[in-house]
Amino acid sequence: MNSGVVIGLSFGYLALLFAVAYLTERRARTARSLVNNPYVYALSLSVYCSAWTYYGSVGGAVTNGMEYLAVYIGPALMAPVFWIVLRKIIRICKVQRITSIADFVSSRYGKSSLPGVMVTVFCLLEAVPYLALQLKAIASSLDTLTRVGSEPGLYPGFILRDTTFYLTLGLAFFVILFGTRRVEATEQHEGMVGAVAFESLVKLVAFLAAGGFVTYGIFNGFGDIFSQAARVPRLEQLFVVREPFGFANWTATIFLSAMAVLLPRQFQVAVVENLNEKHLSKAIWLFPLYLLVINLFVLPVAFGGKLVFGTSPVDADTYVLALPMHFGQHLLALLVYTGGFSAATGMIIVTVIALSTITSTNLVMPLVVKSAWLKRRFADNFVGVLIYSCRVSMVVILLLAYAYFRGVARHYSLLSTGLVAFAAVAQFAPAVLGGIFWKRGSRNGAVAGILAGFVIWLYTLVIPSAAGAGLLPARLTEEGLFGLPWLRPVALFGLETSDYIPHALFWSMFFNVSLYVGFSLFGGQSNLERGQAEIFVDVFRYSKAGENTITGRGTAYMPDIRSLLVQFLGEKRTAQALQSFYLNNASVEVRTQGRADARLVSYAEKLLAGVIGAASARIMVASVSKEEEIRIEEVVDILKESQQWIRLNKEMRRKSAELQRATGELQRANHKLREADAQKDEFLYTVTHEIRTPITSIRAMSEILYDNPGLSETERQHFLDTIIKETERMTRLITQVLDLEKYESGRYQLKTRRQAVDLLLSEAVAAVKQLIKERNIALEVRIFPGIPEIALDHDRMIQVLINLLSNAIKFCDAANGHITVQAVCHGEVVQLTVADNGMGIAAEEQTLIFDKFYQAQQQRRDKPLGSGLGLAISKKIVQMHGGNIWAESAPNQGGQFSHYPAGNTPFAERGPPNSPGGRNLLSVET
Amino acid sequence: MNQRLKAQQLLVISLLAGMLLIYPVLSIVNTPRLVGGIPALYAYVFCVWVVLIALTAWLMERYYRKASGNENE
Repeated sequence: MNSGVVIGLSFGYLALLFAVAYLTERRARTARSLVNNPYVYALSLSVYCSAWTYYGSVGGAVTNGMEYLAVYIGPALMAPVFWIVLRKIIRICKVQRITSIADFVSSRYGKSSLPGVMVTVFCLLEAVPYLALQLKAIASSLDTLTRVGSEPGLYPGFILRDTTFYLTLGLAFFVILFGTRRVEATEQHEGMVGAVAFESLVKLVAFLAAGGFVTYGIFNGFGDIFSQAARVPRLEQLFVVREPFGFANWTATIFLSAMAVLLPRQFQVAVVENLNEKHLSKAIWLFPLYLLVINLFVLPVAFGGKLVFGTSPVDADTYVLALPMHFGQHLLALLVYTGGFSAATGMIIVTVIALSTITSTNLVMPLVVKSAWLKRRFADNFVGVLIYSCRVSMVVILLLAYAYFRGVARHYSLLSTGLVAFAAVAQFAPAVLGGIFWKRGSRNGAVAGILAGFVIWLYTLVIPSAAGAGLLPARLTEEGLFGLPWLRPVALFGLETSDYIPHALFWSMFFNVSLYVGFSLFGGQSNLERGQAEIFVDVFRYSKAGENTITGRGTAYMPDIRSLLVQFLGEKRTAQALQSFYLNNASVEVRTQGRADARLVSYAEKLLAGVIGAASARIMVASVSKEEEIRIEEVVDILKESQQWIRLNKEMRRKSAELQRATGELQRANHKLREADAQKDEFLYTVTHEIRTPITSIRAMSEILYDNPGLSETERQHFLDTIIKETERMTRLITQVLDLEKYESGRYQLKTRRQAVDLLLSEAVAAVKQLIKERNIALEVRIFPGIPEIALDHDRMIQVLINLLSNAIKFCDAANGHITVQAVCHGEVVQLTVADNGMGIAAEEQTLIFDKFYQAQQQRRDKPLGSGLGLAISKKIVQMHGGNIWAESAPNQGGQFSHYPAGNTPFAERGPPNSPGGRNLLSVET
Repeated sequence: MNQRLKAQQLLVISLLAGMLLIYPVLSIVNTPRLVGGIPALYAYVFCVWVVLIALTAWLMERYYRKASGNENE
């Protein structure tokens, strides 16, 4: 095929990529983003399928049958778990403004630069050969297309005549243009994502076209290919996995590829370029679906190629391209070539952008900010350092990859380099996964684990493959280091396995995980580490709480913070950032002078972290603030606050409510006690007072009688009468006090028997008949029919009734007295009422009169008419019967006392009947 | 929506498919026999893969519909 056409196509395709990226970026600025949807996100994840996949899968299938498929099964199995793991990582990176896998590890482990540097170096070591692999794929596909017979085609000759070299430069131009547009690395490269998604579509369509052509154009469907292959013994054995070691390879590869999300390029598209966490919910099944579809035709193409080419020396890696060429389908071959080219360039673009970010923020920046000299040298132009270090590293990485491809890569097959790279990034897995799920994971553990994994990886994978390619003496792998057989790189410590990969994976993971866990368990964490661990592991709790991260509590001043931000973000962006901070944090006072608020310092540090990485940002912020070592109490305070504040607060509120209730109860009880105490004092006072009055008069009378023996008989009689009366009054009082005491203490037992109410009433009335007659009072007794016999203590109830009657007599109208005694039956409750037509009882006194020694106002004004114990005793007696007694009247409308005798019936309280005719009533009920 | 339950369901799907796709289950179908014109091992692996994708998709779309349904309410 004409090499001019192919070269033209290659550069034309690159130009198309520029156009796509440019358009996408323009659309992104107008807010009608082409990339802000889950489909583009899933397609961009498919940058996973590099040229290694595109060409190498077929090669792998021809050598090892199904084993190549493990590379896709791994991510497919991992995809559902992305929802748990990747979503968390994305959230952490958004909150902490993390821009790369190196920054992630550095930030998690105490914003320390060492882990970041290690990850960076490791990524570079892993990625350069991997990039070289892509260049090799481009070069060999160019060669296949332009080869004429046995004449070599466009395979690299002199560098300046090598098309791949110019394509590499073109790619460098692309990544510089679309990869470093903005200062803040946290801002997404939408143009790049658009181009990569577009490339994923191209390679899918191209591979499906090639596979469809092979399966249905050359052969007669899947069944045809497989049944033909089944007749070839060498091919038939590819239908199965070689037992027992094949399964070890299979499982190890699945594991490695499941961890491939930690590859710099996968981290870039999956985490850094993620525009919305919700895109994951579709991507976690769209991405495995993409992998499935692109793999549908791999096996048919592999077997088809083998059946077509037989033993002729066509490299199986190029079957996809060679088959259409062989059958003269040049247009299809060009399409397939474009697909392979897109697979390679997609991988190169994303990887280089990711690596340059890592290098500039995690290798160059820590160096600059840590060295006093460099810091002074570049003080005015940190942004320049950043951008140029980024661009320079892009070019350097690409050139290194090209050099590697020219010098070394031709010795390797496609598949092994890819897996070696996977094994390298798998070394980050313990530190990353432990970092987001295990708070104890410590910096020293991460450093030791990654370092050990790295050394084992180098020793058990890189050295054997280098030796295999003749770059190192083969003696090293055959006899072991220093001639010690147990140090043989392919059988470390005597472990013989089928292949390098499971062997290297086992030992590197063994030491990596052991050291990580061991150092974490037996070593300590700095306070900053502990704080970051808390934020990472509980990110879903903290990310809602806003800007609470641990910063040095030291004092920083506004002008310093501001000028620091201006240094990296520029005047305009700094003003915007500060404005948005004040908008979101209304409680922070806006100021340009004086001490900066701690939240603002933390915000500034995060902004900087987005530009220069967490470790460098920390150093820069520390340089303008007088740092004080954070005390553990503060870490705990700040972190636990948001997490436990609500819970604690709730608990405290509940407890204080409980306390309040208890206090209230205590207060009430105390109040009651005081009242009771006061009542008792008052009672004692009243009783003694009441007793002193008769005693005084008795004594006076007695003295008169004693001193005047010559008194007349009438006079003597009068005095003696008075003495007897007073003594009786005293006896009565004392009896009443004793009675009351007896009832109140519960020592008195009622002697109940069933009795008719009318008999009871007439007995009581008979006892006061004489008094009523004397006072000329009209008495009316009304007993309603149907009143049942009730059980009561006869003497006590008579006492109550007489008491009420004598009150009625005492207080009824002096001139025209009228008393009504009434018995009614409401259902099972009997109500007795004694009513009079006296001056009545004020509403506020109607309950008080049943208190001991209470005398209604009228009485207190005039001479007391009774002891003040009668109603108290009556109330007690009625209550002991399970009844109720009350008074009702309006002043000047007479009084009525009612009580219910509950008798043998269940007691039910009832409202008193209307007072008859508005006259005075005393109503009693037992 | 119950995020915790969703995460657990996804984890179970992943673990189950993982167990079905490694030794020893895989050794059951590790024969050169053709099933419907396709080697048994390949057919089996692709089938499990399809089921894995379908289950994940079904689960996520169900939650997605529920979530957007709730938003409408």
